[in-house]
Amino acid sequence: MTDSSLTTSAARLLVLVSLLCWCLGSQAHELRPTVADISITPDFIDISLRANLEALMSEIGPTHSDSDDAPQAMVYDRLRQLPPATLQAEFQEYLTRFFSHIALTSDNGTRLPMALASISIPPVDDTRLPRDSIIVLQAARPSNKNTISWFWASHYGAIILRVDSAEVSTLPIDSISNESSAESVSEADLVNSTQPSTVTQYVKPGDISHPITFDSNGVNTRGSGFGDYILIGFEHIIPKGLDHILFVIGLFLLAPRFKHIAWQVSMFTVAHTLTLALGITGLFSLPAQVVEPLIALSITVICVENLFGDRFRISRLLIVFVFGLLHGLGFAGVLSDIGLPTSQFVSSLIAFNVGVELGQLAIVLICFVLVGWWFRHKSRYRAIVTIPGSLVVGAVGLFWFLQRVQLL
Amino acid sequence: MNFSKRMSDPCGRIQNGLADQRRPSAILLQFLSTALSLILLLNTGTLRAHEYWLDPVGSQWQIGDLLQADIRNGDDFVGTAFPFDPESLARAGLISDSKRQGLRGRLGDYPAFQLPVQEEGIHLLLLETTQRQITYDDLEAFEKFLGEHSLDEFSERHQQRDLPETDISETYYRYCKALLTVSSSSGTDLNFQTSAASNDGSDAVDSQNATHNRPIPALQLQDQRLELVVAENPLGSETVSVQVLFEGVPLADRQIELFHRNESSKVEKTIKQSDDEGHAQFSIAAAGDYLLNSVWIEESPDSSAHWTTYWASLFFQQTNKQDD
Repeated sequence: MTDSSLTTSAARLLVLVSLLCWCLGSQAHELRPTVADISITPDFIDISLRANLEALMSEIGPTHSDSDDAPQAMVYDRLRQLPPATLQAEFQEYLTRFFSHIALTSDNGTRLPMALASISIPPVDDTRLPRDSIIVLQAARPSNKNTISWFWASHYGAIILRVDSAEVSTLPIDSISNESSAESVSEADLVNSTQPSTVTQYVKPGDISHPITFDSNGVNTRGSGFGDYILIGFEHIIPKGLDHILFVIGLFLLAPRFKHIAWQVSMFTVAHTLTLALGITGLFSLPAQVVEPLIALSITVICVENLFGDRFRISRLLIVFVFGLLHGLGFAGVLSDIGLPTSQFVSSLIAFNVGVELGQLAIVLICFVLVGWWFRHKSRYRAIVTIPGSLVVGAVGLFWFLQRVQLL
Repeated sequence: MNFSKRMSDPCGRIQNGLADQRRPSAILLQFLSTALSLILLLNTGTLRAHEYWLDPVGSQWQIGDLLQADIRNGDDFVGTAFPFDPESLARAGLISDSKRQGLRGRLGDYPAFQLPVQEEGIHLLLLETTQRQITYDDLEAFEKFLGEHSLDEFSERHQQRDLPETDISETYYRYCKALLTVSSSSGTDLNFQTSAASNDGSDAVDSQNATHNRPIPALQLQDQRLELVVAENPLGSETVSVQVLFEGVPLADRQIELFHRNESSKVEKTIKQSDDEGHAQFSIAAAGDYLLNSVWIEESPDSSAHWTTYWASLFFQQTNKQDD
């Protein structure tokens, strides 16, 4: 009993001394997550860690205020003072232990051996601040395996895994007040739209990552590639873009003639592609408060025009073109919220547009199958389809317009 | 160590009895531990670094540049940079004469704040965090914090509210701003006359005159819970008049700190109290980095904590004046 009491006291003293050194020697180091950029090539998996190397090597752990961590804090402070070359040499010695605490596994649970590809340590500088070193690890890519997971010991803290892709989140600039108008609600949704993702994920200390999937070319299949932007574009028409759907229906209602529909839809496409490109590059934009009511109004105007006859005039094309410009600005708003990868800017923009086009064609096709095909030869097409249809669609547009300028 | 013995002695009498028989070395160790514990106690309350601010990378920007700024947390301009994490931010973006861009980024980005510069003029970088939480071990640590921000009267309020003396919980929010000026020439507005391209210079004059006739968006109130706002572009001014507001209402007699880091990285702190209108004036003639900071405390609106604090900061730079 006496012996154990002595040991306890000695241990307590040791802890206290270390804690004191830690408190006096440096400020509290808030542990930030390590950021890992993972790139998958046909032969290799490269993992570039931006990390507080000293914190990793001292195994200080994420709950650094606990006195249990105090001895590690002493190690940390010693390492923090080391010039890059010396720290690198110490890391080389630590490397075996480091790798024993990391598990990069393929889908059947096999651990993939890793090697240190390169390391870059900044100069000592201000020791009150952590320095971020870049540690690049490399593993041979397993053949026929398309999934990997990452795990490392909890004392290395949290890690953000990012696989090559263009995933971007957007924050609101305006404060989200308590009286939730329609606009602020949609902004709140935007904040929450950063769903858990396998492409960019935050792995808590001691957790295993979600599986990271890639295809045989090495390109991550869950990324925001060409196909994804086609889908995003399509989804923005069906089912999300009810106002764009109604506008296209408005165009369709004029007359059941393929030539007329084709001309109008093409003109609409040219126009919104133009403003989409201008909007997304930041060369031209209008606030959503202006664009959104005008988009609603454009539906009504098109429908009113339908009521005044089925003659296909140049003026009709001009109106469609002008409104197409507006709709493009609307699309730009959406796309800039999602974000475009700078590396594949043009291809992603094209993909988004292709998606929008496919969505529009789908609308025309559906309208044609539902209505056009059955009534196209009827002499009373206007009385049966155009006029009642335009009245209903136009009324909805007007309702939206009033709602969006807050008159309703 | 005999576990059953301890269990049968819930009051610890046996241990107390044995203490008398301990070796002198054990007593010495006990004494040292106690002494060190006391020293440590005096060091508590420093775990949350105080200022939280937006620190732009670089000092000159032109249209088309990517404007980058670090989110820093630290004391006296020594702060750790944190990565972009949309979960931890409630609101962020860039406000210029005709544009309001929401901050875009990817979890893990450094610097956390990156947006393209799209026009000339004064720009406001804006950022608000989501709720964070801190627990003070004891009243002493809490009072130390209150004292640093001249909020001492809340110590009495704490007692009046019958709140505990240990494990005092606080939720807190950060409200950051940074002001900077984008000019068409390579220099600032101050030295446009010396810029090589005279066309660019005259553009700068025009845009400046234009902005005098209407409110400058970057200098308007931005609906932050706790907000610091300056009436004029501090760039090139001798003094700055700053106003502190809580929920849009000026806070009188509120402490505002100004940190100044000069070009040889020496940091000086000036403390002032706001007047009845929430205003305070500081001299900002010297070149370097400036950080205004103020803190306010309220009873926590929900039961998740005892108190809620609000931290506002405003960063700007002063470039070297020309020798006329």
